[in-house]
Amino acid sequence: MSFEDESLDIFITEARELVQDVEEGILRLEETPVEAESVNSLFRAIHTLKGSSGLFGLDHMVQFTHVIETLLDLVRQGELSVTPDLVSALLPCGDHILSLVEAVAHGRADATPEELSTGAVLLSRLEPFLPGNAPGTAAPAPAPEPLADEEKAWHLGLRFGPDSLRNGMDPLAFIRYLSTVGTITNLTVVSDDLPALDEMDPETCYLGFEVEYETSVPKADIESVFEFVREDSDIRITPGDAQVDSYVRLIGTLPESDRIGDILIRSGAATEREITDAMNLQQERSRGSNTMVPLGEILVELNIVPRQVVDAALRKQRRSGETRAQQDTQTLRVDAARLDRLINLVGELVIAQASAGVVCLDEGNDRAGMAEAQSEVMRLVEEVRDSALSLRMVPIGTTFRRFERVVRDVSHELGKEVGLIVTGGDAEVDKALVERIGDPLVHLVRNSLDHGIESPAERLRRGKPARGTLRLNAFHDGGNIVIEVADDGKGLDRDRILERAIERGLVEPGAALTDAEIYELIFEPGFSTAAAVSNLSGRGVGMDVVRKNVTALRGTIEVETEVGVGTTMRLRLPLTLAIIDGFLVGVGSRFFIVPLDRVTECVELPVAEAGRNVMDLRGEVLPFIRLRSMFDIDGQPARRQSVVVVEQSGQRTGLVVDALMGEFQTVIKPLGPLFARAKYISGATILGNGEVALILDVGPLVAGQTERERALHADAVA
Amino acid sequence: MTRLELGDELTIVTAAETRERLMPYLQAGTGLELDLSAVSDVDTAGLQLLLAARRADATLSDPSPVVRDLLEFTRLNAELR
Repeated sequence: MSFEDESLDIFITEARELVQDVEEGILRLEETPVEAESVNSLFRAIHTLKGSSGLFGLDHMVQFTHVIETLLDLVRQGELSVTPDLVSALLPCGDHILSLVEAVAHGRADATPEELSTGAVLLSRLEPFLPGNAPGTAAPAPAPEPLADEEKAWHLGLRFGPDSLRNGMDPLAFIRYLSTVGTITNLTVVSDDLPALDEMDPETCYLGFEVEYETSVPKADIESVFEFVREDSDIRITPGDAQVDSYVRLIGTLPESDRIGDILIRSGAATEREITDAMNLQQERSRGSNTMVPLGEILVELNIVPRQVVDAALRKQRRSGETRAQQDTQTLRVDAARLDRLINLVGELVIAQASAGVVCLDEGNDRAGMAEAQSEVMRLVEEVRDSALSLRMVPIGTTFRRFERVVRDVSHELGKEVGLIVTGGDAEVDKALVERIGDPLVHLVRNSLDHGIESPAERLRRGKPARGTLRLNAFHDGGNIVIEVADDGKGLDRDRILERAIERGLVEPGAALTDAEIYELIFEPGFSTAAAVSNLSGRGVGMDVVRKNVTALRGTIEVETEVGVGTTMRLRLPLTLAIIDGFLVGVGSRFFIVPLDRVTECVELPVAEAGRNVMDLRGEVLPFIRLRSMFDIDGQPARRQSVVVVEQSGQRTGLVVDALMGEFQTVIKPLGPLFARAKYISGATILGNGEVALILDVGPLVAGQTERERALHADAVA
Repeated sequence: MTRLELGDELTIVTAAETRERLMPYLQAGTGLELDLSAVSDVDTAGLQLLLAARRADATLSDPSPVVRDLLEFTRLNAELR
C-alpha cells in the first residue's frame, strides 16, 4: 500500500468520525442553542473536514463544506440564531458529506452529476440563512469534463443510411454544423459506392465522409449531432492519432474502476452509447458459445477506441481488482495503552515459554516443576487472548449516538414528541458485533416510536407527559452484553396479539399460552398488529428479521411489557463472536460443544427411562434428544449415559450423550459454505488433540424438538 | 458540346428531374458542359449528382459562390473542375 493510499485510508476513517461529530453537533444545536462550545466544536469539525478534503484534492467536498463552514461561522459569531428550520436544513448536509466520503472510500474521487445536484439542492436550502450572496453559494462547478478545455482531434467516419436524403436529412448539413463548434481540418468525400449516372437513383445517398475534426466539446456532444440519423447510419468517432497519447495519460490519472466501460466513458474516449452498443454486440456474440469476447476487443474492432487506449484502461481495471481486496481490510482505532499491554504480555509469554523450556531440559526437575511452568504459560496465553480480543472492543455508545438522529427524524415524521435517554454507552463490545447489531436496533427503536409511544394527545389523555421517553441502555452481564430499548408507551396488548396470531394461523384457537409465549409471537414472520400500515413499520416485516439477526449473533431477545406503562426489549448478546465458553461432550468417538450459557445442569439418564423420549426431572417432564440417533453415530451407547439439560427461550430440553468432558474455551471456526444449510450446527472447533468438535446450535435443536414432539403427538391422536 | 444551365436549386427536390435532363446528352456522348452560375442551393444529393455527371465526362463551369464554397468545403475542387 503506498503512502498516499495509506493516508487516504486515515482520511476516510477520520472523515467518518468527523461526520458523526458534525451530526451530533447539529443535534446539540437544537437542544442548547446558546452554548458556545457546541457551536465551536461543530465548526471545528466542519473546518477540519474541509481542510483535509482539500489536501486530497476532493474539490467537490471542499466546495460543499465551505458553505456550511461559512454558515456556522455566522452562528458562532452570533449573527445567525439557530432555529429548528436551520437544524433541519443542516442535518441532510451531514448525510451528504458522509455519502461523498463513502464514495471516496470506494475509490471514486470525483462527484457524480447526481451528487453535485443533490449538493446544490441542499445548499440552496441553506441559502435563506446566509446574508446576501455569501461566497460559495454559487452553483457548484459543473462535472469536470476530461480534457474539456483542450482542443482535441477526432476522426469521424460517417456513412449515412441510403434513405437519409429521402428522409430529409442532408449529411452535408450535419458536417457543416460541426464546423460551428470546432474546426474541420480535413474532409474526404468517399464516393466509391457512387454508381454511374445512368444506374444511380438520385435520391439515394451514396456518399460517405471521412472528417478530421478538432473541437473542445466532449465526444458525447459530437455524437449527439448525429442523433437523428444514428439509427440507419454508421457513425464512428475515434480519437485522432495525436490524441491517443493524451488519453492514455488521462486514463492513468483516473480513479480506478471495476469496469473498463466506466473508465473509457470517464476518460471521454468512448461515449455511453458506444459502450452500450458494444456490450450488446458482446452479448450477441457470446450467445451460444462459452467464451465471452472481451469488451475491449470489440471496441477496437469497431474502431471506436484505439488499442493503446483500451490497453491503458485494462491496466487500470486490473489494478482496481487489487485495490478492492485491500479495501476490505478496514482500519480500526486502538487505544495505545491496550496495545502496550498486549505487547507486554507477549513479552512475558516469550519469557515464560523460555523458562518452561529450561525446566523441561533440566533432568533434575520433576513433573511438578514442568506442570507449574506449563500452567504459567497457559495463564499468559489466556491473558494474551483476552487482551487481543479487547483490541476489537469498542464502546457501544458510538452506535447509540446515531439513534439521536433516528429518534428525531422518526418522531417528527410521526408527529410525536420523544426524548432519548442513553445510558451505559461505555459498555464495550466486539467491533464486528457493533456493526451487525446496528440494523436490528434501529428497527426496535423505530418500532417503539411507531407502536409503543402514543401521540401527545393520547398521552395527555392517559395522564402521561406529552413528551414520550425512549431509553437505550447497555450493561455487561457475565460474558454477555445486554442492550435494552425501553419506551414508556402503551405496552403490548396481550389479547390483540393472541387474536391476531390466531387469525394468522400462528396459534391454534383455544391454545393455552403464557404471557411470555404470547409476546414471543410478535417475532413470528408475517406478524403485525398495526391497524394501519405506516411506512415505518406495520408491514409485518422486521421483528422476525430482528430476531433472526440477533439469533445469528448467538443472542437472544426478550420482551418485558406492561399495559399503559411501556415495553422493554432486551437483547442479550455475546461480547465477542470469536470465542465462547463451551461444554464439551462425547458421543461414541465424536465430540460436540454445547454453548455453556445454554446449559443449566447435567444429570444421569435413569436406566428406567432409557427406552423413552422423556424423563422425570424433579417432578417435571423433560423431553430429550439422543444426539447419537440425531447425528447418526455408529456404535453402542455407553452403559451410563448422561443428559445435558439446555434451555432456550424458557424451554428446556435434554441432550443425551455418552460422556461429559467439562468446560472448554471454544474458538469458533466457521463452517465452510458446503455446510451452510446444516441445521443444528453453528460452527466447529479444534480440540487440543486435533479432533474436530461440532458446536451445537441449541436454538433450532430445541425448536426442532418441539415440532417433532407435536408431529408425534398429532400422529398419536390421529 | 452542349451547354446546359442548371436551375437555382440542385437538391434532393430536383435531383431526379435534373438527372433526367442530363441523361440524353451524356448518352449521346457529344460532350456536356454544365453551367452552375445560377445554383443557389445545393445539398448532398446535388453533390453526388455532380460527381456522377463528372464521371460521365460532363464538365462543370461557372460555379456560383454557393457551389464554389461546396467544392472547397468538400475538397472536391480538383476532381470536379
